[in-house]
Amino acid sequence: MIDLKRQATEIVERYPEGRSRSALLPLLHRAQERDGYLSEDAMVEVASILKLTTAEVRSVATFYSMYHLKPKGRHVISVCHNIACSLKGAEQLIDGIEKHLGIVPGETTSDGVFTLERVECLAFCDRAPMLQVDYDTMHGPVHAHSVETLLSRLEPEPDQFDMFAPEFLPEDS
Amino acid sequence: MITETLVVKERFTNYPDDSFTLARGLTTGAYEGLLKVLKDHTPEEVVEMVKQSGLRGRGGAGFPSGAKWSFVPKDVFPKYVVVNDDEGEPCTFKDRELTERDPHAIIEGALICAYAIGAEAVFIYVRGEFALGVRRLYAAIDEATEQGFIGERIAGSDFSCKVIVHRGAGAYICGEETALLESLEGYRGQPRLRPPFFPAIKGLYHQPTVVNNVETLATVPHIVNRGVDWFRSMGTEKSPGPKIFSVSGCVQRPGNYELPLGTPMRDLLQIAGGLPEGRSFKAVIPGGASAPWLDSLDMTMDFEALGAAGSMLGSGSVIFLDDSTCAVRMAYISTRFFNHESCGKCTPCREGTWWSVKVMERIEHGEGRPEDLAILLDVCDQMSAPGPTYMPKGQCFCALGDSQAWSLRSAINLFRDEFEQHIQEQACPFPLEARLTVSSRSKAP
Ligand SMILES: Cc1cc2nc3c(=O)[nH]c(=O)nc-3n(C[C@H](O)[C@H](O)[C@H](O)COP(=O)(O)O)c2cc1C
Ligand code: SF4
Ligand code: FES
Repeated sequence: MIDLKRQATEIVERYPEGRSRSALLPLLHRAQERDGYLSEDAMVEVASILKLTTAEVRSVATFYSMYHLKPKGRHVISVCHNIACSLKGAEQLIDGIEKHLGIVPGETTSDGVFTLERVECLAFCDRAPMLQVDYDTMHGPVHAHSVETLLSRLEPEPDQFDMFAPEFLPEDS
Repeated sequence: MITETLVVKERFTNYPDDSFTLARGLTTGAYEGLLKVLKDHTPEEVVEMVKQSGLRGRGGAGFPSGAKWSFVPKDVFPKYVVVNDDEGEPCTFKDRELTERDPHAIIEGALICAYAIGAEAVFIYVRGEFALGVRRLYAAIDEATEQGFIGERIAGSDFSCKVIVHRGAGAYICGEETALLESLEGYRGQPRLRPPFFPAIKGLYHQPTVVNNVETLATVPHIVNRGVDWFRSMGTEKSPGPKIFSVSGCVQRPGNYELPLGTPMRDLLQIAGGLPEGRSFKAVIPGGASAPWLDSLDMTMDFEALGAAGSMLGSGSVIFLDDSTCAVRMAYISTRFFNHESCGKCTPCREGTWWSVKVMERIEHGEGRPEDLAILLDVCDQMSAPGPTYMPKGQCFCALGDSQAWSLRSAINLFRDEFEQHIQEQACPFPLEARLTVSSRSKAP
């Protein structure tokens, strides 16, 4: 279990003295890693650790696309729909995933395993069309017919892909 | 046969398996540039060297790097170097590859810059989605610290410097340097007013700061090691040196290709394998989605030539479109992107991108109205008055708004017939494309 308070001490130390607010983004990443999403409680907790108001924390959390304010699936599948991926069949890929999972972008499967989302260019355009799993591993080119194999490989091992890449901080015991 | 000019790409091209490790770095010259400046050059000499080299920023604006470094006041402390590793310009993927495959080159370049301007810390602002890049940077910093290239009294000199990785959280606008600094300070990533917030004077924590792109900094050690004349032997008078071009879209071998600036665009297309079999050239977006479109291949890839052609080199990412591509659909995707990424700080961009995407969506989906093109062009003019494209017009708070206007206006001007056909026929004339526009169950946002 991630101890946000302990993490905060170490993260704050990286920045110059008196600049603890810089730890806000990293700490929100850690909170989301701990809970799977950014709950209201977590934002209150982060606010109190960094001596900010909850409104300040919320205003930041809502600005950035990687923070989820609602619970999401164990795996987030982000499919790029920008120019290079579109030219290579991103919409067919999204269509294929929708059919396979029975959800549309923005939704989570009823068993809570997958959340699907559309994202902008992830700088993997030479391997378009592409998708990213859990904001970590990028896959490409991925075509509609290989979606089933790809997703079934994820399902049984939810921890194989770390939700939110580790910040390389010491493990909390 | 056209071959690449391997400079910045050299290490990871030759050693694809372990180019990111310090062990491999040390057998291929990593940190030699840093040791050389610490031993042989004063900070002023380093700034002068970078000035003489003519190196221009690889992040989009092409600003001369040596001049930027020289704007930093000497007697104000602390100072900082911030590495812009937030690569989000559509179809640009050079910084991600560099971060994953040669993090030591970035760190070395940033440390040389820190020495030159007298900075006490380097912050590497990495795009949040670059998970592998973040891990590689952390590992590289650990290795370099252990070897004494980072920390107190580096290599026995008087120069001390820390390197800190700061991970973003998903927002294209944080690539804009003042928005990046806001984000690094823990705020919403919205641009700052200039003046007074020119980073060189009032940057991170309102202290003097150099913000440079990843590729710009990774180029610096090569200039130090091989000299200004060597660097200037490549490229053009005003755009010297090698550049990594991210080539994508309708080409057979998309990828990052390193070639001298001033390379003919046709050579770039050829090295990327050419267009797909049986297709012909339609248009090219030469500098990421922010750059105006062009319908000619007859120009060279440098800041001057693309500027003269009415576009820009931007980040150096080149998207080729062939005759099977629907121009309206591509313009719609690009507009949708800018609307999604508009930070909302200023009205022309927040409202302009929102209305533009609504109108583009209905044109592409067969519901366009006769007045739509006039509406779109009017919105473009309100966001950025017509004029040379490399100059933001000041109607929008930052260049994101200008970019949207430049790109959409150029698409309409080049392919007006196609836009009008969509509206007259109330359908996309590209049957396959039309089916791909919106997946069967969901409407694209
Ligand atoms: C909307 C917008 C997005 C930008 N995105 C990036 C980016 O992702 N990476 C980058 O290096 N520069 C980006 N820039 C340019 C930066 O503001 C800045 O000019 C650059 O980092 C300076 O580095 P350079 O001189 O080495 O190119 C962007 C600019 C704007 C207006
Ligand atoms: S132009 Fe757009 S992105 Fe830039 S400040 Fe205005 S709203 Fe924000
Ligand atoms: S366009 Fe999809 S990763 Fe760049």
